[in-house]
Order: sequence, then C-alpha cells, then structure tokens
Amino acid sequence: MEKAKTYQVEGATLTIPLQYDQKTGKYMEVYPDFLEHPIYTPEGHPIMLTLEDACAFGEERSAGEGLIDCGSCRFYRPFSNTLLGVCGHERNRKA
Amino acid sequence: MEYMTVYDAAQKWNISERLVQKYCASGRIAGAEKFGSSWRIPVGAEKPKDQRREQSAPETQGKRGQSLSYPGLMPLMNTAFEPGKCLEFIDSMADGLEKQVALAEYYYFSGQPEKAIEQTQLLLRESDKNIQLSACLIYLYANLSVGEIQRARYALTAVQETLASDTEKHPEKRAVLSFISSAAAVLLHRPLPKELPPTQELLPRLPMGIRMFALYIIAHGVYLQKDYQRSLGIIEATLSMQTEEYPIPSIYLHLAAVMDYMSLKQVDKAKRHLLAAWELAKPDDFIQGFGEHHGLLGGMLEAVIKPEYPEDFKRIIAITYRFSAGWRKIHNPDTGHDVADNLTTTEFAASMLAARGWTNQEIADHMHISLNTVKYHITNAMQKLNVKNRQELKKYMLL
Repeated sequence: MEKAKTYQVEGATLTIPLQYDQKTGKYMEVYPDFLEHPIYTPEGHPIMLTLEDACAFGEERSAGEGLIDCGSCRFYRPFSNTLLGVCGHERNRKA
Repeated sequence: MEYMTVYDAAQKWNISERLVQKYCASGRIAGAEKFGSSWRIPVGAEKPKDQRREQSAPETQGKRGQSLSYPGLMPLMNTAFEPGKCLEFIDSMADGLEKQVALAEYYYFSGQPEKAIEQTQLLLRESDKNIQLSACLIYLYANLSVGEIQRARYALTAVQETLASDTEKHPEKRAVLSFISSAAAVLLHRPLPKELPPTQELLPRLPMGIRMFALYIIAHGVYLQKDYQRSLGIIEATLSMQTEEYPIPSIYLHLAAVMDYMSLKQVDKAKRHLLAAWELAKPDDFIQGFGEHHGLLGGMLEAVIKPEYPEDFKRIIAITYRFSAGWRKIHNPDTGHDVADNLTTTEFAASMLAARGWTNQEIADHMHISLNTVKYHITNAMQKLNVKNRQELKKYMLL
C-alpha cells in the first residue's frame, strides 16, 4: 500500500503521498500541482506550497525582506512541519 | 667514457650547480650517473633545452630582466598548447619528474583521479619543491575526488607545513609556495594562510600559465565575497591579456566567469563563457573542472551541456558527486559551514537558483524542465534540508 500523510488544513483534508528517499532514508512528501488542480479550505482560501512563485497580490512580510514566493508573503499562513500553507488574500479567495 | 663533474658542467653551460644536479636527477642529461652524493656527466653531454621555450611559452621576466625558470611546477597548467594536443605535448617531454607531474595533471583534469594519485604519491616528499608542491596539490584534489579524506588532509598538511617552515628568501620561490597554498585553501573555501605575501608581490613573479591560474583563484575568492563585478573584471582582463592559449587556466577562468554572470543573472554572457570553456576542454577531455564547479554554475550544465552532450554530462555529474562529497567532508567541519549534503545535482542546481531569488518559471525555462519538475526538485531539497523557505535555503547553497 502506498504510504501517505493526511493533513487537516484549516478545515480542508489533504492526503499527501510519501516517497522513500534512499539517500537520506526519509519519506518525502510529493505534493500535487495546486495551481493546475486547486484545493480550497471551506472558507474558500486556496492551499498553496510555500515555494510557489509570488502572485501579483502578494506583499512582503516585512520591509526589505523581498517577495519571492508564497513563503515570503504576509498573506500566506504556513502549516507546521510541511511545505503546505493557505493563501489568505481576499483576491485569491474562491467566490 | 670521459666524465666531468657537476661543477665543470655548470661552468661549461653557464648555469648553477644546483640546476645541473636537478637536470641529472630528473634524467634530462643522457649518460649522467650518480657518483657518491654527486653526479658524473659525460663530457660530450649537451645542456638540456628549456622545455617551455621549446613549446613557445612566453618567459617570465624577473625584476632585473632575468629570465626565470620553474621546472616541475604544474607544467601542463603552465604550458600554452593547442587544444587536443595535450598528450602530444606530454609525449614530447623528456622522461623525468616534470613529465610525471604533467601526466598526473592530465589524469586529474581529465577526470581520472585514481591515476593522478598513483602518479603523484611517490613525489609528495620530493626534495625539489616545485615537484613536491605540485604533487601535493594534485594529490589533495585527486583524493577528494575518490573520497580519501585522510590522504587529502595529509597533502594539505604537507603544503601548510612547507609554507610555515619555509625559510626561503628567494622571492620567486616564495611566490610559488604562496600560489600552491592559496590554491589549496581558496578552492576548498577555507581561510587563506596568514603567511601569504600580498597579491601584487606574488603575481609578477609567476610564469604566465601559473599566473593565470593564480588569477582564477583570486577571482574565485572575490566571487565568494560576492563581489561579482570585480571578479569578472579580473577574469576578463586575464583572458584578454593572454597572447597564447593556456587551456587549463583558461577553462577555470571561464568557469569562474559563468559563476559570476549567473549570480548577476546575465544568462547569455554566462552561456558564452561556458561554451568557451567547453571548446577548450572537450578536445583533451578536460572535464574535471566542470564537475568541480557544478554547484556554482547555476544549472548551466543542465541547460547547455546536457542536451548536446548527454554522455559527457553524465560523466561530469559523476565527478560532481564524487568530488563534492569529499569536498564537503573537509569544507564543512573546517569552516563550520553547512553546505548541502544528500541533494541530487539537479536539486542543488534548482535550489541554488531559487535561493538566489529566481522564480520557479525562470528556473524551468533556464534548465529546460517543466514547472512541476522544478517544484518537485525544490520541495525535495527543502524537505531533505529541513528548511521552510527559500531564504533558509541560502545557507546550504554556498551563498
């Protein structure tokens, strides 16, 4: 049976498959393409990966830090122990 | 047969006795025989010719206009030859220690570290300093490439001891010692030894090919300080001043230019330098430098070499894995840095660009892979390194 890990992200349930990496002896999470197949929380906020390129609505967390990806955006809420998070910007919310 | 003494030969040929003994020891005087602690030389023996002059390499002029000679010091690096004619050049050398060093250089730079080790291990305590230091340098890096860290450390220590205990006042010889010590330190990203003289004193005293490589080392050091424009200035000036092609230092200079231009996100210029390096390297199979620099080339090998030369690319990546594993074993504990381990070369290349602020789309376009593949590699790297964002990636990426 394929190994997987289940997360509850702000009310949304996500099952992320795991892949064994021989070099490190660790299981790695294999994330789906959230841009191609978006997944939303019950409140309509999209689940994103920390390393997705920053979008046009993003704003840096603190001045001078730079805005490169979701991880550096003040609207992004990272979920602990994973590279998943939720975009909290109203403009990206599903109507 | 009639013989003359070393003194007689020195008088006859108008050179020092020491040089005559050196010629005898390296087998460059036909019929010379060991006689007690000295040598006896057939009366009719001819003075050995200057090999570099025979190869049309320019001479280095001392401050008083005196021609300097550096037999045994990285002879291949210090020779101008047509790409593809490396083995021909080595074959033309007289048998002896200098030829052995040249052959070891060939093995090392063409990605055959085991043979380079075999060739140099008996020269590590050689009394001729040029031979000994060259052997140590090759032995050090060749052992990094095969994961023999203790042996690599032994060679590094031998270089450091020679530098520390050296009482040599001759400025040219000090320059040689400093060059080898810098090469051993900077390329491992370790601090430079305190005993080194200032660069402006060192460079003019080195012969052309070695001077070019010394400038590559300086440019590499400046790159590590993130002063990319200054590093490029050094490289471009060095490359434009050479009157003949010195393939080995030129390859390394071009590779350092790729590192600089990629850091400045000037991909076209980086590509031009990579192709220039490849054009010089391919005919003699000098692929080692590409493997050594992979992590700093910002995915350029994947973008340029992989599609055109997939088999060479595979060999380069094999060198990268072997070399970087050894390199990290010395670099990380000695510097306290924590350069990424356990990443694949693609993960490293993509993550390095991500840490530099490239978008995923830019990385995908540059490396000719899909956006999803980029994300797959970067998420893997981040999980392996246990980091939460691109900013944190930096400390593992030599940035």
